[in-house]
Amino acid sequence: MPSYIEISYLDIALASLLVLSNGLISILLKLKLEKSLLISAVRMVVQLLLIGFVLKWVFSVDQWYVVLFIIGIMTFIAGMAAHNRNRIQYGGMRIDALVSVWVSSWLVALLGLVVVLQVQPWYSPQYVIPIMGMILGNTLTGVSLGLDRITHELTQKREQVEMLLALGATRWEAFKEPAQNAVMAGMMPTINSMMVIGLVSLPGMMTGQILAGQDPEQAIRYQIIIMFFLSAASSMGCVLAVVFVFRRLFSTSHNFMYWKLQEK
Amino acid sequence: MGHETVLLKAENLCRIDPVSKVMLVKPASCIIQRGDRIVLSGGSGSGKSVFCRLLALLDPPDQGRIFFNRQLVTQADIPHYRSRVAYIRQRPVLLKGTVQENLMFPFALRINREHHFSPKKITRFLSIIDKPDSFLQKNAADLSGGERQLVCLLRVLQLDPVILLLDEPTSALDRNMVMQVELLINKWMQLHDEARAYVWISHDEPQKQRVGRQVWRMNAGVLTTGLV
Repeated sequence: MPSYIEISYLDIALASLLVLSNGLISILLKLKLEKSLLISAVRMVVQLLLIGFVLKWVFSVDQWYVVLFIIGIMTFIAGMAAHNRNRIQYGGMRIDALVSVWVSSWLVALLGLVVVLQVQPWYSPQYVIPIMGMILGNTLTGVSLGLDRITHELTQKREQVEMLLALGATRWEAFKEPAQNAVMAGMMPTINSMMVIGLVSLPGMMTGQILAGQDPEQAIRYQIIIMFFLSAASSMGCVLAVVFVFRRLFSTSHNFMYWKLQEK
Repeated sequence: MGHETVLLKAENLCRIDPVSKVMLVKPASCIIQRGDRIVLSGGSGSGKSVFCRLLALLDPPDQGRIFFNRQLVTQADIPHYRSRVAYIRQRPVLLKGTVQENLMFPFALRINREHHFSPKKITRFLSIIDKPDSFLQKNAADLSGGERQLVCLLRVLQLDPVILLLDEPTSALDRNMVMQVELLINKWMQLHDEARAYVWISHDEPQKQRVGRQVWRMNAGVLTTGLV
C-alpha cells in the first residue's frame, strides 16, 4: 500500500480547469495566446502519458539493451536541441553539439551510477532513466549556452582575435578570452541553481521523493549527489563544445576561419 | 643586389574566397628588401587588403609560399613570422584598460616570453609624436581614433618587427594624426638605419608620394611590382 495519494484521471481533469484561468487571462488581455496555450497543454498531457507507457514497458522488460536504447534516443534529442537553439552556426556544429552532450552526460552517468550509487544491476531503469534525464537536461543547457556564447563572442571579437594573431599569438592564445567567457556562460546556470537551492526552490526530484513518502534526509542526500552530477556534466559538456569549436574554426597554421561562422 | 638584402620573398601567393570560390588574389610573387618603402595601390575590392593579409599569413594562401630571411615559413613558424612581419589594420583594436596595459599585454604572449616591456623605449617613441608620459595612464576607451592607431603602432614597434604591413592605417584619421603616424614610421625606419621595410596600402595620392619609394599595383587580383 503506497503512502501517497494516488491520482485518478478525474483528479487530472479537475486540475486542468486551472489552465482555463490562463486562457481567460489571454482572452481578457487580448494576448491571442489561447491557441498556443491549448496546444501546449494538450502536448504536455499527451507526451507525458506516452512516456508513461514507454517507462512502464521499459520497467517490465528490464533488459539492458532496452534501457540503452531509450537513453540513446534521449541523448540524441538533447544533442539536437543543443544545436538548434543557436543563431550563429558553422558546418559540423550539429555533430559537435551531439558529441559534447553524449560524451559528458554518459561519462558522468557512468561514474555516478556505477561508482557512487553502485546501482545493481547497472542498467536498472528505475535509476538510470530519471537520473539520465536530469543529467541530459542540464548538459543540454550547458552545451547550448556555451555554443551560443562562443559563436557570438567570435563573431563580435573577430578583429580582436585577428589583432592577437597578427601580434604573434598562437591560435590558442587568441581563442582564450572568448573561450573563458563561453565556459563561464555555460556554467552559470548550474552555479546559480546550487547557490539558491533549498532557499528559493525545492528541486523536483527531492520533492517527488518526499511526496512518495521517503525519508527527507535520504531525499536530500540524493539531491546533493545529483547536483554534483549535473554540474559536472554541464561544465564538461560546455568545455567539450568550446574545444570542438576551437578545432573547427582555428587551423593549425594559426588562422581564424571566421568565414565558417554564419548567421541562420 | 646582394642576396642578404632580401628580407622577404613571396612566390605565387593566391587566395580563393572560401565561400564564393572567387579568386581574390591571382598567383602573385614579390620581394621585399631592406629599406623598402613600398606603396600598394589599387581600387577598392582589387584585392590589396587580401594580399596584405596573405603576406601576414592572416588568411591562409591557397597556393604559394613565403621565404623570410631565406627560410621557408612553415606552419610551426607562423606566430614568430607574424611577430616579425607585423600587420596593422585600418581600424585599431585595443583591449580594455590603460594605454600602458595595452602596450604591455603582448609580452604575456608565448612568442615574447623572453622580452620585457621597456618604458624607456616607449618614452623614446612618445617623444617622437610629442606625447607626454602621462599618455600611458589614459584609458584606452577615452582615446581618439588617431590616438588609438598610434597606440597600436607603438604596440607593434616596441616589439621590433622587421617588416610592417600597413593596411590603410590612416584612412580614417584627420590630417594632423596622419602626419603623426607617418612621422612615427619614418623615424622608426631611420632609427634602424633603413634595415627595416614596409608595405603601405593607401588611397591618398599625396600620401603615396610622401611615403612611397616604390609602387606596387593591384588590379582585379593581379599584382604588379616595379619601381616608380
